[in-house]
Parts: sequence; structure tokens; C-alpha cells
Amino acid sequence: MKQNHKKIKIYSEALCGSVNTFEIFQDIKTSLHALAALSTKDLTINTFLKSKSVDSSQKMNIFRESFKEIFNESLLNMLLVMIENDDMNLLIDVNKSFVVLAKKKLNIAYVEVTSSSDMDENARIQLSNALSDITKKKIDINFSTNKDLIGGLKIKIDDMLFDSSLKTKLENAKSKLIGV
Amino acid sequence: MDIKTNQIGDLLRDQIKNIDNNVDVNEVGEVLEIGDGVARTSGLGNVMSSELVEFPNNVFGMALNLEEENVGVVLFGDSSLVKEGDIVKRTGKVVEVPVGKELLGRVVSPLGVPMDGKGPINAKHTLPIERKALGVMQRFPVKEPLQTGLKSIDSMIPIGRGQRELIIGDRQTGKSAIATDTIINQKSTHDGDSPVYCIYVAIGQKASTVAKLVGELEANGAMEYTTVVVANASDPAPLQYIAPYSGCAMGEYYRDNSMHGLIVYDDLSKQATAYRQMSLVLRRPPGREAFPGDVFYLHSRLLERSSKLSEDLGSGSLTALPVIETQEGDVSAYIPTNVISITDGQIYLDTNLFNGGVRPAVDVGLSVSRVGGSAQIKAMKKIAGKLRLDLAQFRELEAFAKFASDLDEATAAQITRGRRMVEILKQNQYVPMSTANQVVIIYAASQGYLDDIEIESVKEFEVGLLEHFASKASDCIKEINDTGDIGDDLAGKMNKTIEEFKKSF
Ligand SMILES: Nc1ncnc2c1ncn2[C@@H]1O[C@H](COP(=O)(O)OP(=O)(O)OP(=O)(O)O)[C@@H](O)[C@H]1O
Ligand SMILES: [Mg+2]
Repeated sequence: MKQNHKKIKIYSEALCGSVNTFEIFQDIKTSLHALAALSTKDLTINTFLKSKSVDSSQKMNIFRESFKEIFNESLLNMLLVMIENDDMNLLIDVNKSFVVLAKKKLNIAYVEVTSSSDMDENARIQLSNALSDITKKKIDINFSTNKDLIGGLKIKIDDMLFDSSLKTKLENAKSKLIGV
Repeated sequence: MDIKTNQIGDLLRDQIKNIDNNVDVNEVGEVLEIGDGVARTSGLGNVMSSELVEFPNNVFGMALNLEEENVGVVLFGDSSLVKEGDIVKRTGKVVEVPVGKELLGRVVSPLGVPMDGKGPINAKHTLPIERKALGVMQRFPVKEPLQTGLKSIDSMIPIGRGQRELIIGDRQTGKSAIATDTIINQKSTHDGDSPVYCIYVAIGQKASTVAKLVGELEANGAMEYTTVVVANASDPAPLQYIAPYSGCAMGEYYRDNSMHGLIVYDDLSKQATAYRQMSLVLRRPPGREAFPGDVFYLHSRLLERSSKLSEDLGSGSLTALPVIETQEGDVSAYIPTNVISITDGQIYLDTNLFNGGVRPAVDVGLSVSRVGGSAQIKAMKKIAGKLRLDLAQFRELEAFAKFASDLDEATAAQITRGRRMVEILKQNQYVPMSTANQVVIIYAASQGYLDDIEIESVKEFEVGLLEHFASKASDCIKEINDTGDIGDDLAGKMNKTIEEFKKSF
């Protein structure tokens, strides 16, 4: 457990060191995310990575050949080291820890916006810019819709949730009127 | 009531107008893992220890384990309503409960939510359930009596206001009965100028048992000044864990406002078991009997909050009667020894005595009260000393009682006396006795007036004598109440009255 903690820290710090711009951050984040998703969905990759009969240099070669076009170089290198040390099972945790570190380093806020109906491109850009101004941070933004909100927005910036949805307002009104 | 529909409409519109203009802002986290009433959550970076957090579907929890990577939260509600990935909100408050006289007559959950269907509690004050106990300088020695109305306890194991007296015994030995009788006996204090308000905390009991108890309190007019806090056996362990602290906060309200409170924790063994369950699920390391290392602190920080306050702080008090259940009379198990060492004495109830018909089944030899003596009235102190001695001698000689015919006269007399004493200390449930009456009957027995009464008739004699005193010699009763002492004059008068009654018996 403790040992893993240390490893995760080393990997994510190394990866973070090679990230200098918001674009690279996003690129690495999506790649890692995709890889993690892939390995949970497609078990053959897992089997391959965990296989004892294939030795690690062979694994590294195959891995490099298949991903060198898609992955950022420093990411690829780190993954190869992870394969060499047989640490690919830590991938998800490394990803998490990397995101936290890189966000701090590049001053990025992670924002999730949920609205009751789809927002058009213009509104999205405006909102994104406005949030960036307010938080004084670069913004990594995701949009989603949820009809249950009825109206209004739910904006989650890192650990803070700003909820102006009609649903929550009605719920608050309900509990206030009942007096609980 | 006559309300027009358009008035209601206006009212609602007003309310909605007010509600509309604020955005809900909360710090949130995400549920990583949930099971056995414990959730692990990520985020919640600034959460405080024992802060209340909110899950979807109105489920609340308390943050307990603050770790580097995640926060362990215990749930007060149905954990099947919460799933992985759900959002959990901080409330910014540590867990608190409503306090005050509005709670009297009510049955509430450990979170202060009414359970009796009597509508909302409009309490004006709230207090956090976990509070620091007072320091040395804020306290005062115990000096006013807290009458239980039970002869065997008030005479030999007297309890004072602000004391913590443990009630300990095996299952079904009348532990709860002593606690309820004490609550019922506080009714008389509400005619005087320093009433005692009561709180009964039921932990891990069957819902039917609690319902029966509330019924009894109601029937005896005791609910008017009592609050019942319930965490049933079927409630989540975290609720059973916090129940005593919630009740204590309600009691502290009286203590801190120059009033007197009495709190019963029935029972702390079940609370410790609930805490053990929570701790194991939170993966805290188990120690002796699989309890976590801080189980002593669990009870010490609770019981230290009962105290008598100094005059500067208003002289209020909170008396605690914690209950502990033993297995086969083993008081040296982990939890019993802990609580015995924290409290100011214990009332030990014995299964054999209980089954032998001595009820309340108080084992006088093993029971003590370390501070209550200074709260006892002089009259009682005088006769109780003799009572203790008589009973102690009787217990030693009891083994020979079978051969009563072969014994010398003095021994036989002691045995006769002892038997009568045991007999008068028996007392039914729900019939607490006033102090003056207790003094009269114990005085009569210790002066040997009952020695020639048949054992079977002792109860009848007691009832008759007390009636006689009430009708023919009420000045004696008044004098005991007023002076709190038995002077030579009064003793003479009492002797005469008893002899008079005996002739007619
Ligand atoms: N003084 C008494 N006179 C007659 N019956 C009594 C007396 N005290 C208790 N009982 C009866 O004995 C039974 C057990 O009493 P009680 O429920 O108080 O015990 P307990 O130790 O609290 O039990 P548990 O371990 O189940 O909590 C009850 O039925 C009660 O009515
Ligand atoms: Mg009981």
C-alpha cells in the first residue's frame, strides 16, 4: 500500500514535469483517460500487459509501435517505464494524481456544467470565458444536460458546486414550507 | 380556522419570491465506495471532523475518518439510497440537536427529529452534540440529593445532583426499572423550586420495549418533564453511537441555564458495540475484545459532561445514570471496568437476588456511592448506618439461618432483624416513596418494631404504618421534611405512634 503510494507519486510528478501548457495537459489527460477506459473495456490489453510469458522488452516494443503515433512522447516514455516495472495496474491512480498536480502547476480549474437543455456553442464559449475571468484560472470545461433540473444551471468548479437549478430551488422551497 | 384561499396563494407567492434569488453554494465530493453504513468519499478537502454531510435522497452522514486521499463518512440513514458516484455536500456544521424545554414530552431521534408524530419541535436553541467537558474550576462538589424514591438506594447508595452513578447487572435484572422509577420520582420535585428535567436515551433496544417504557412514563405523568431519545436496535450503528451525546447536549442545556437535569443512558454496552462495528468497518485497528483503542475515551468524554456547576456559572447540574449490561455477572470485562472507573459509584444488580424475589435486586455489598453521602439528609444518614450494619451481619450469618433453632439467642435475633430489613427494602415498580416515608419505615425496622411481625405480613404492616402516620401523625412527617433530622423529641413521638399502630395491627 505505502509502496504503491510512493510509486504513484514518482510517476505522476515525472509526468507533470513535462507538462508546460494547457494543451499538452489536455492531450495527456485525454490519452491517459482513453487508455484507462480501453484497458477496463478490452480485457485482451490487460492480459497482454500482465502476461508472464511475454518478457518486458518485448511488451515495451509492441506498446511503443502501437501507440507512438498517438501519444505524446513524454507520456509514452513514462508508460514504457511503468511497463518495465510491471506497474500498469497503477495507471488509474497515476492519472488521478497527475491531474491534481498538473492543475496546481498550470493553475487550471476543472469545471462541469449541467444544464436542463443543450447550450449552443456561443453560450458555451461565453460561459467558459466568464468563468475563467471570475476564477482567474484556465478552465477545463465539460458540458452535459439533465432534463431533471427543469431550468437553470449547475456549475461545479473543482470541489465547489454552484447550484441555481430550478429543481434544487423547488426542493429547498419544499423543505422550508414543511418546516424541516 | 378561517383562511381564504387567496391568502394562502399570496403567502406561497411571497415565500417563492424570497427563495428564488439565491444560488446554492456548497463544497462537494464524490462517493467512491459505499457499504455497511460507511461511505468513502473523495473531495471534501476542507471538511471538519464530525461535520454533517448530505447525500442525495435526504440521507445525512458524519465525517469521521479524515485521511489524505479520502474521507470516511458514517451514514445516519438508509445506505441503499446512496450509490457510487453520487455527490456529497458539506453542510459546514458539526452535528447538532435542538435543545430546550420545547423537547419535554417528546420522543426524538438522535438527530433531534420528532418520532412521535406530534408535529415539529420549534426549539429556539441548538447545541453541538460533542462538547468539551468543563474544567476543574467551573465545578462544585455534589451536595443536593437526587432522590430515586427507592428505599434501598436512597438509604444506602445515595445519589447527589451532578453525580454519575452506574447501574450495572446482567440482562433482565431490573436495570431499566431503577432508571424509570427514578425519572418517575422526579415528579415531586416539580412541585418545589428546583425541578429536575429528565432525558432517557434508549440505545439499541427493541422498539416495542421503548414504546412500553414511554407508555409507562406517560401513565405516571412523567413525560411532562422528560425527553426520550431513541436509537433502536434496527437503526444504523452511527445513530446508536451518537445517541448518548445528543441526549447529553439536551441535558447540558438545563445544567448551563441554572436548572437541574437527569440523564439515563440505557445502555452504554450497546453503544460500545455499535461503535465497535463502525470502527471495524472504518478499518480502525481493533484491540481488546475487538474494541478500538479509543473506547475508553468514548465513555469518559460523555460522562465527564455530567457535573455540578459552581455558583458563578449558576449552580446547575446534570446527573447521569449510565447503564451497563454484564455477562454472567462479570464486572471485569473491558467495558464494565472502564465505566466503573469513570463513574462515582455503582448500583450492582444481582440475578440470584432478582430471581429470589428481592426486587430491586441491589447487592448492597458490591454497590457504592462515592460522593452522594454528603447530599443525604441527616435523618437518613443516622438510620442508614445501622441498616448497612444489620444487613452486613445478616449476610454473614445467613448461611446458618437454616439451623435457626440451634443458634444462640443473639444470633437468631440478628437473623430475624436482617430478614425484616431485606423485606422492607423490597419495592414494586412505579411506586417511588417519599424520603420522609422511607425514614419512617426504616426507622421502625431498625428500632426492632418489626421483629415480632411475621415475614408475610411485613408489607402489610408497612402500608398500614405509613397510612397511620399520614392520618394520625402528619406533624412527624412534616418535621422530618422541615428539619431533615430525627431529634430526641421526634424520636419519642415516632416511637409512640409506631407502638400505637402496632396495638391495632
Ligand atoms: N422492583 C420490581 N418489582 C417487580 N418487578 C420488577 C421490578 N423491577 C423490574 N421488574 C420486572 O423485571 C423485568 C426486567 O426488568 P427490566 O426490563 O428493568 O430489566 P433490565 O435489566 O433493564 O432488562 P434488559 O437487560 O432486558 O434491559 C421486567 O418485566 C420488570 O417489570
Ligand atoms: Mg433494560
